[in-house]
Parts: sequence; structure tokens; C-alpha cells
Amino acid sequence: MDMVEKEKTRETLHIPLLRRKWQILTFQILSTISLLIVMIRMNILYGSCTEEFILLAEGSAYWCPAYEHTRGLVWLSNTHDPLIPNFLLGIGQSGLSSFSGPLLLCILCTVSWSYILTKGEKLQNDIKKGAGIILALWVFIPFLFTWISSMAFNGPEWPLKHFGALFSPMGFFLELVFLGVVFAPILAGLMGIWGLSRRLITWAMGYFLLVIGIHAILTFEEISGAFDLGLLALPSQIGKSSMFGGLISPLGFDLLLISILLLIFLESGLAAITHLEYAMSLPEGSKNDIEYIKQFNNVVNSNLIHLVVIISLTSFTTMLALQFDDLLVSFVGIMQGSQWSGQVQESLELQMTYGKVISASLFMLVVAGMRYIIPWQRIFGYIEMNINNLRS
Amino acid sequence: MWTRKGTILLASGVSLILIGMMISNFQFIIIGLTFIAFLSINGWVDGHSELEISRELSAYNVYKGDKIMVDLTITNKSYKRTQQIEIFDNVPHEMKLHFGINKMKINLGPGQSTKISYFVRCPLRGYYTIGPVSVRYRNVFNLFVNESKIDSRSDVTVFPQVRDIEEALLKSDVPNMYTGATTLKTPGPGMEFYSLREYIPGDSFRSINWKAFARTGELMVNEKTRDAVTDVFIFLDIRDVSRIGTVLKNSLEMGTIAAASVASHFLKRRDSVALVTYGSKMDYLGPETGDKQNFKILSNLASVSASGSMPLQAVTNALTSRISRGSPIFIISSLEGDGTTLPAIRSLAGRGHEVIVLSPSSIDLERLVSRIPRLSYEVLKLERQNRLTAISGYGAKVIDWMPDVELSQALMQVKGS
Repeated sequence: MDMVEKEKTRETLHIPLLRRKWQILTFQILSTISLLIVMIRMNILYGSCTEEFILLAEGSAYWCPAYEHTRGLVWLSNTHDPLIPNFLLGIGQSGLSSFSGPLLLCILCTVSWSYILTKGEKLQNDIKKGAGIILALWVFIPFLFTWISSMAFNGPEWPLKHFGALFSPMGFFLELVFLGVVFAPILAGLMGIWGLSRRLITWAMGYFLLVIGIHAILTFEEISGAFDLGLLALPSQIGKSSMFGGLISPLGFDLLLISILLLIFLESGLAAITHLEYAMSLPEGSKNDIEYIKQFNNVVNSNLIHLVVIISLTSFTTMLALQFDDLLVSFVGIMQGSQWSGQVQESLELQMTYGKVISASLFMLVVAGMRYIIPWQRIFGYIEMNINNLRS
Repeated sequence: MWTRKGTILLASGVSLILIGMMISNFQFIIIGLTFIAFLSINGWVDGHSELEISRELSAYNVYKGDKIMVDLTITNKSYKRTQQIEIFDNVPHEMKLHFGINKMKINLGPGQSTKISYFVRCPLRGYYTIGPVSVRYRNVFNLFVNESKIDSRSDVTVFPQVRDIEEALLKSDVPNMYTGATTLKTPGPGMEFYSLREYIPGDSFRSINWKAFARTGELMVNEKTRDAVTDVFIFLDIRDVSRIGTVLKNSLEMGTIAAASVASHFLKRRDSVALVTYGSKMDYLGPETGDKQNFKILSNLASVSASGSMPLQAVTNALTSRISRGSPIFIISSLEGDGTTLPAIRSLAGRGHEVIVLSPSSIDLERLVSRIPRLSYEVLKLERQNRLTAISGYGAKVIDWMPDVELSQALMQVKGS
């Protein structure tokens, strides 16, 4: 018993200790896993070009602005040899293995960034200065070398024709740009989760939404008809519900998975930061106070439970909302015969989105209103109290 | 109330659904619906502030600079979880957190309780109230926020500091004038025996001298020497000019410390002490002895604030009839902006009172907050010196009290006439 007490009192709210706390690590790992799965799912859904576009390329390298990195890098490697090794770019690999090299780069960047953050500001400034100097040397040394050597052989001349050498790092930057299309949000997300930056996490979330938005606009019939970039559009019909006992269609599930994973990534990443920020704001005395530690654990545990329960309920509710039109159609179908029911049935059965969205919105209103009908918290409170009574 | 994040999520959700409908994009619609579903489900969970709060303080009356320990016990008396709430005990900004913190993030189950313990330092005298307790419910995902207050208050009185000036008064000229007065023997409440007299109805039975009764056959009672040998009058200047200086170091603050210390010293010697404060109006606390009087004086001093411009002579004229003959008078004033100081002191000295003027140097106090050119400073200092010399010329003992000098040190520099 004494040992247990001692173990408990050894717990404090100091950041190094909290960063090893299982709840905080769970938040961070959950967020990281969601981020990586989002990347893979987005690549599957938004990473393809249309068949026509591929056929037009006639076997040569091609690139369309899809959420995929190797295609662009292969296209780039036709003009010059990449500076980053192929295995790190994922060139020549397919499927998940094409992500391993760039992911390794992202992880290395995150680890070094997190490490540098823990060091003094002087080191950070030195690194920034060092990077600036290397970049400047990289830009100017080839230019100066070609110009001077040319003058050595051909006599004095203006440097205009050697300006091309100034752009020697451009190839490297283009490689980074093509990598960045897919991995910029991954790097930002990882840095946000493990380097505790809200800004980077929200930036990553925003980037994903932007990719989805750009893809949606570029594949919109009116735009792709006039200006085809070869992007593969999502099907305009959600399909027949065949998963989880007819609750959702496979396409619907894929799309829902992305939005739920984005929510998990955002909320669990931010949760870890919020709790650590609170602990950091406490003075030294309170960090060792058993009451503060107890309440911190209470808050963190309840956050974890909320995350699991609320996200699960959100997924289920969204699935039900998407299926709510079917229920309405069946309900209206029972009242066969009247002209009104026929009209309603026709409008709801529209294959386009309107009927589904309107019925889903109605369902959401019902869900939101349930807080006034069922006293959830009181019910759970009674259960919790009785469990505590039984335990004691 | 919705937070910015909640509002953005709602706006994004609705916009994504509408845009999704317009361009027939199910990904937009599903993300939008997910956001709305997330908000709707979160709406089911609500925090509450049905809490029982009790606050205990280590002391309710403290001296300036002392620390108070505050224990705030929070109990969830309802049948539901509080959810994630932030408790914030409102501490007056004049008090400084010394140890711990006055806030806590909690999530209490039904019947559970917790305790916030912290120390505050009270660097300024006055009357303060700790509380009410602010409760802020924040949704786990920071979507909604709701603030409320629980009316739990604790009053604290911060008295001015009382410095030990006994040694200083022994070494300086100040106590010498009381040596004659302390030998005066008059009957009254006290400890030492004074004389025997016949019993008169109303006398306490405890004072009956039974041996004398046995000897004489008549009821005799013991009379005691009156312990309070003299009435000490303290005049404290709380006019508007007394605020010159910093918040912690100004004429008024120095004056309250001096008044409290002097009063406490003489009350310990069983003397009667009267306190007169004058600023926008005159406040008179008649001469009395004992701890109760000490408490009254300290409470009075805790509440004074600088205001008004009442002249000293108006005060002395009003109180002439109440000041006992021969009583020593302490005048604690910066002596700035009052042309009646000289005639007032002259009049008091003329009536045979021992007058001690303790004057915080307002020029040096002003230097703490603003830059005074050297020449101007020298001139002002000379003017002040002349004023003090003129006062000491009327028989008063004058102390020029510099801001960086301790009260006991200042008292040892008494300049007699």
C-alpha cells in the first residue's frame, strides 16, 4: 500500500514527465496514425489521373495535379537527375512503399526540429544563419565559377549569359515542391503533434481541406469540360448502401473515413497541446500538488473518453443521416395512393444530392434537439454514482 | 456560448454542405455533415456549476506584507459530472500570489470534491474581498463555453505594518519627556496598589480588602493606580498631497506605518492613545487604552485614503477642548501645501503640549516617480529645511523622514528645540 502511495506522490505535472504519460502519448499516437491514414486514403481517392489523360501521354512520363508524388518526380527526373536519392523520393516504388522514403524524411525533420526547439535560441539562430549561408553559397558559387572560368578562357565578358547558373538549386526546390504536394501537411502535422504547435496542426488540416476543395473544383463538370487537367473525378452518385448491414455505401464510407480521420487528427493533436499548456501554466508548487495531479488525470481521462465516444457517435450519426432519405422514402411509400406522397417520393428519390442532403439536415436537427429530450448526463451520472457506491 | 472554433466549425459545415450540393461533391457534403454531427453530439454534453464552495483563510486580519493561506474546497453536490470546468478564485489585484495558484481545471464526478490551496501576499493595507468564484465550463473540444459566478466571499483587513520602535524611543529624546508624567499617581483601573478607602455600593466584591475588614470591622476596598499615565494624540495627515510617491512608498503609507507603530508602542505601555486623521474631513478616535483601542486604530488606519485639503489649524482648533493638558502630540505630515502648519504647532506648543513632528520627505518621495532637476531639488530641499527649522523653533521636535530610512532609525534623529 505504501509503495502505491509513493508511486502516486512521485507523479508530478512537469512537462518532461507528462510527455511520457500514457494518455498524452495516446493522443499524439492517435493523431499521428490518423494523419498517416488520411494521407493514404487521400492518395487512393484523389491520387489518380483519368484514363484518357494517361492514354494521351502515350507511355511517356506525365503529371496531373493529383494527390500523388512519384508521378511528378518521375516527370521531373526526365529533365534532370534528382538531387535527393530515388529511394527517399519513392521513385521506382509502388503502393505504400512509395511513401516510406519521404515519410522517413518527414520523421527525421520532425525529430530534429523538436530537438532544436528544446535547445537555446542561439542554436536556432545559428542553424538559420548556417542554412542561409549554405543556400547563398549554393546559388552564387556555381555562377561565379562558370563566369570566372569562362573569362579565364575567353577574356573579360558580362555575366549575363551565366545567370542560368544562379538557378542551379531550382531543381532541388522543384523536387521539394512535388514532394510537398503530398508530404507538406504530413510534415506540418507531425511537427504540430510532436513539436506541440497548434498552428501547424490547423495548417495541415486546412491543407487537406484545400486539396479536397481544389480537386472538387477542378473536377467539376463545367470546369473540367473547358479546362481538363486529367484529374479523376469522384463518382457523382454515392452508390448503394451495402456496408454495415446497409448503413453506408463503400464510397460513402471512404469519404466519411477521411472526414472522421481529419477530426481525430485535429482533436487529439490539439488535446495533447491543451493539456500540456495547462500544466505548463501552473506554478511549481501546484505541479507537485496531489489535488492538481488528480484533477489533471480526471480531465485528461475524460477527454480521452469523450474523444472515443463522441467521434464514434459522430460517425454513426453521419451514417444514419446519409441513410435517412431511405427511411423517409420507405415511410412515404407506406402512404401510397395520395398525389402528395407520390410527389414527395419522387423528389426524395432524386439521384442527385438534394434529397439526401435535405433529409440528412433534418436528421441532424433531430439529433441536436435530443439534448432537450434525454438527460444524458444525469443518466450517466446516476450510473457512475452507483458504480462508485458498489465499489465502496 | 459558442467559441470561435465552434462557430468556424458550424460555418464550415454549412458552407461545405451548400457548396457540395452546388457542385455535386459528396466529399464536401460528408465533411460538412460530419462537422454538424460533431457539433450536435457535443451539444448533448453540458457542464454545470451546481457546486458547493467553501473558503477558509489562515487569517482574516493581517499586517501589510503578511501572507494568507487560502483553502478553497469545491464539492459537486449534483447527480451529474461537472465536465471540464475551470475554477478561478478572484483575488484582488492588490494581493499577490505567493505560492500556488488560484485556478484549477477540474472534472468532478457526482459527490466528488477537491481543494485549491494557495498563498497570497498582501503588500498594500486596506479592506479586501477574496471571491466570488468564477466557473468556466469549456467543452472538451473547445466548441462551447459558459461562464458563471458562485457568490462565495471572504473579507480580509490588511493593517499597516507595526514596527518595533521601543529601542528607538529609548535612545532618542522622545521618551524623556514622559518620565515626569509616568510618575503621576491617580486612582483608576490598573495593577499597582494605590490606597484603601471605604466600601461604597457598586464596588466589586473582588476589590474588598478582607484583612482590613477583619482588622477594622468596616468594609474597605483596594484602590489601584491608573495604568494609563498619559493620553497620546496622533495627528495623521491624509490630505491629497500625501499620495506623492509610489504606490508602496508615499507619505500616506509611511504615515500609517508610523501612526500604527507609535500607537501600538504607547498602548503596550498602558497609555491612552487617540488618533486624528484629516484630509477631506476629520476623523477623531478618542483616547482609550487596551487591545480593543489598538484594533480600532489599526482598522481606522487600514481604511484611510488620500483626499481633501483640510488645514491642520482647523483640526487643532476643533480639538483644543478634547486634548488633555500636557498630552504629547505626534503630528505625522509631509507639511506640504498647508500654510496653517506653523501657527497650529505654535498654538499647541504654547498650550504646553510636547509636539513631535514626523515628516516624510515629500520631495524625496516625488523623486521616486519623476525626475527633478538638481537645482530645483536643492531649492525645494532648502525651503523644506527652513520650514522644519521654523517649526523646531516653536519648541516642537522635528524628524525629517527620508523614504529609504526605517522608522526606528528616523526616530533616533529627533531634533529638539
